[in-house]
Amino acid sequence: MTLPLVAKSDARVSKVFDEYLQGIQLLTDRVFAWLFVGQWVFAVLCAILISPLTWNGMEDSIHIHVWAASFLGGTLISLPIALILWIPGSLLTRIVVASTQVMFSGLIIHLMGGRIEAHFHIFGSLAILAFYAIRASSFRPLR
Amino acid sequence: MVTFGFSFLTIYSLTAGPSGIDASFANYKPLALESLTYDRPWQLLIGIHPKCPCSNSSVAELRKLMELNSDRMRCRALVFVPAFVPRDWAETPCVAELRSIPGVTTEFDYGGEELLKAGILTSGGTILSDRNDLVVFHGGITPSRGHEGPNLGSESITAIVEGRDTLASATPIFGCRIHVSKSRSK
Repeated sequence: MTLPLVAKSDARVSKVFDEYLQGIQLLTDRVFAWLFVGQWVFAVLCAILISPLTWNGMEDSIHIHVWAASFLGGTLISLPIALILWIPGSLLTRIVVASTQVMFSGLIIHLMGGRIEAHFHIFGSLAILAFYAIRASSFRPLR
Repeated sequence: MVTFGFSFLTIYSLTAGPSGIDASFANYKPLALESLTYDRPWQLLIGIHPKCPCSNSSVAELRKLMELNSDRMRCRALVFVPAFVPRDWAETPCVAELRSIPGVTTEFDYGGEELLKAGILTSGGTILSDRNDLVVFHGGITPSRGHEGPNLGSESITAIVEGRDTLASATPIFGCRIHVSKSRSK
């Protein structure tokens, strides 16, 4: 006689857990939206401060890193920010956000000349991406 | 568009600058090395464009090289200063960093004539020669433009200086051009 009660209780726990998880994922989406903008500004500043100009003898021109930080960085963040605004909390948004963050790590490492310190961006990113936790039961073995 | 952007960045990073030394450099004697003090068996000449952002990586790699081989190698750094500009033009943090490396003698090359004679046309280009001015290696000491890290140039120089088998006798130079290219100077 107690089985239905347990099942009902499990379903309730599961529902509350899912709502809690969804709340964290929505919050993480919002954090990433602001983080992307901050990273973009940081990337442009890096390019301007580290490699503003390229030289050919005594002639100078704007370094490709400045263009890359401005336009490639801007292009990179446009899709995830759009998805965060349109369909926050969805699996697609999370995948795009995570992929973009990986590419942004690559861009920042490149702009900073491959400095070891720049690689810590990956570790910081992983810490925030960990908030995109999903239920263990969501994993299905590949067949 | 993102793929194109990253591809373009990668191609740019891996595009080497010109070198004035061709493959048959066995008997090449760089005039720029004449004023060196031959108190160590190996002499390294490096050309630096003081304002090129890629030079910072070359200088960082040079510091590592000198820390490893300072007892066997002396280095002369020639800093490019265009003709008709004040010396202050070349007083950059990169040159200050260069001066702080033990075993490195830093000199300004006004007009870049000495660098041109030595065959260094790209910032970060090096020439390693022995006590008899015999060139055994020439090329860059960074893995790509403006990037520090393990690279064939530094490893080859260290191998030669330590008496091990040479890994490469020439490597591509990643940096800004020291001399204005013909197409742009027209």
